[in-house]
Amino acid sequence: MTSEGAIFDLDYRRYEGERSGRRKIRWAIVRDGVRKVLGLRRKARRKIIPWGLIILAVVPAIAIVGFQVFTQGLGADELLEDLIPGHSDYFQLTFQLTFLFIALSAPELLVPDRVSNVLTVYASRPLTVADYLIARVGALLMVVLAFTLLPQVVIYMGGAILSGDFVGHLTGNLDLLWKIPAGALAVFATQAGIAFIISAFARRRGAAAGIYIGFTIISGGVAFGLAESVNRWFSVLDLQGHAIVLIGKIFSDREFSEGTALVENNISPWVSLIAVVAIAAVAGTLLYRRYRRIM
Amino acid sequence: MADPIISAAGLNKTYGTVQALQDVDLEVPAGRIGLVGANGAGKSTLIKILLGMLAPTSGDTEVYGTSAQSHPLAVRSRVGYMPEGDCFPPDQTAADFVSYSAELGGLPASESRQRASEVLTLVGLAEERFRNLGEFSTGMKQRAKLAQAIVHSPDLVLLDEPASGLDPDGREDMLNLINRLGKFGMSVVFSSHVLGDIERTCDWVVMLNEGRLLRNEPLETIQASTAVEVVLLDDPGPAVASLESRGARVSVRNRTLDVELDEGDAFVLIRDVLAETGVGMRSLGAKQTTLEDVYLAEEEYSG
Repeated sequence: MTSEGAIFDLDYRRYEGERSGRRKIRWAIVRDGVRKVLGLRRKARRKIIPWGLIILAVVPAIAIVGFQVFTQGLGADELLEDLIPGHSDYFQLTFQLTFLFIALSAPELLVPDRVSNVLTVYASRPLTVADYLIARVGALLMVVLAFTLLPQVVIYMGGAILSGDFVGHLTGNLDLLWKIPAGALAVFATQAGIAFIISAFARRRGAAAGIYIGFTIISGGVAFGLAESVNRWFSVLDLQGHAIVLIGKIFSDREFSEGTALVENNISPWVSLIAVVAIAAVAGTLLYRRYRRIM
Repeated sequence: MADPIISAAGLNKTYGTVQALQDVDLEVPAGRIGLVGANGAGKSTLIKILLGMLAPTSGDTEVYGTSAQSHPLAVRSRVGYMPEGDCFPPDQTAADFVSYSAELGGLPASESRQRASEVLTLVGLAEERFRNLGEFSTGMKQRAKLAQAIVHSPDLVLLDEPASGLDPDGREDMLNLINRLGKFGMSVVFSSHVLGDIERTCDWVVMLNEGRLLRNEPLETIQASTAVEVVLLDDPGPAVASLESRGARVSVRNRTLDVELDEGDAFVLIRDVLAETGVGMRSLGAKQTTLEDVYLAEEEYSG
């Protein structure tokens, strides 16, 4: 033991290593966005809604696989084939959950940064407005794809394992490898653009989510009403309908999109594709212009 | 002057009908630079133009020889910025946010985490680094803002009113931290309307008033004075009259006289005049010109 003490000043250590380029900086923003959406490194109450929705989306898929395991030896395969939901059916099951997930996640990505003035920090770093926005949209895309794909993968892998011919099942359903992501992308492209635009102006996350949900629901009703009473082309205002039509087309499942204003008015799925691309393009442009002004 | 780190030529910025900067030309060397001016003088506007966050109406600025208008990202990769207002996500810990700020400055993720911890310790937030920023006091927020501004090892740090809203102890700590930044190989631009803070921390002063550049020179040049200050015990009238009759320029504030003489020794003249007039004296010495004196004089002169 010594009676002498010493104070060490840690001082400041300069970083002399190599610096990342914009690609890695964008990736850092994507990772931050994923953490925000999922409530990671946040208090427990921030995790409740996203993880609750994820559980709601995945649990039925696990139940379906479990049901298949349970009924496998009963010799009623043909009957059960009609009862057990397929991939497009499962999109129908999770569609509204995905819609809700996007409605709650897009504001989480944009509103706090703007309201708490964190954009000033981004604006002082070597990145552009486009870098920030691309990374934020990319974060939501990653999470939404995972949200949509996870239960589909559970069903796909469950089917492969239960088929008794794992490789045969996988190779026999290769088309699902593009159909499932394409369906998820259709949902994202239709919904996220509008959710982001509303979030770019709202001052509260809850308000942004509420406005977006209300706007989407009302657009469906207005589309139906105007298509019936004025002109069938008004059915293109049915925003959710476009995603549903595209998923139906991707899975060649016309039943899936029945009941939408678009199908009821014989609007071609190609119109929905054009509408989705147009929504994404307009939303991207508006978002960029808005952030150019404030960042 | 050695190679300037900041230069501006013919810089103008208008917001609608408001002229925020007017024909600003300046060159500033490395070191601790005080950006002085009243609220609305154009300090924050100048800082944002230097970062390429705002486009000037006309003119150009260069930071380390790179145009902030043509290559803002190259400039920002060498600069840190501490904004005047809040800039924190309230639901994130200081460690997470400062680490993320380092990544945004181009540091690898693993290094960022380590440096965030070091820098938060340096600014005195070691104990609080795992607390959410929303729970921080004003003083802690100012420290955290400084941490995010220096965490990525910038060559130049732009501090916009870093001591605003701080209590005396907090202000003292912040000024000490700013003084130390120079030792870490960083140049500092420190904007403030508190002139005493600038005097204590900076070696170069850029003075702005209503968007116009008043002074741009070393602090010691600004503070240099040939005047002699004498504080009298009695009515200064007879002494002033006698000094002026012998060619001295005298300015009077109550019983304090500032005496300047073009030729000869002002101290000898004052001694003789006081002996002749019998006016008592409390103190006598070389006048210390403060930034406040200069600012008020310049403001009065510029109308």
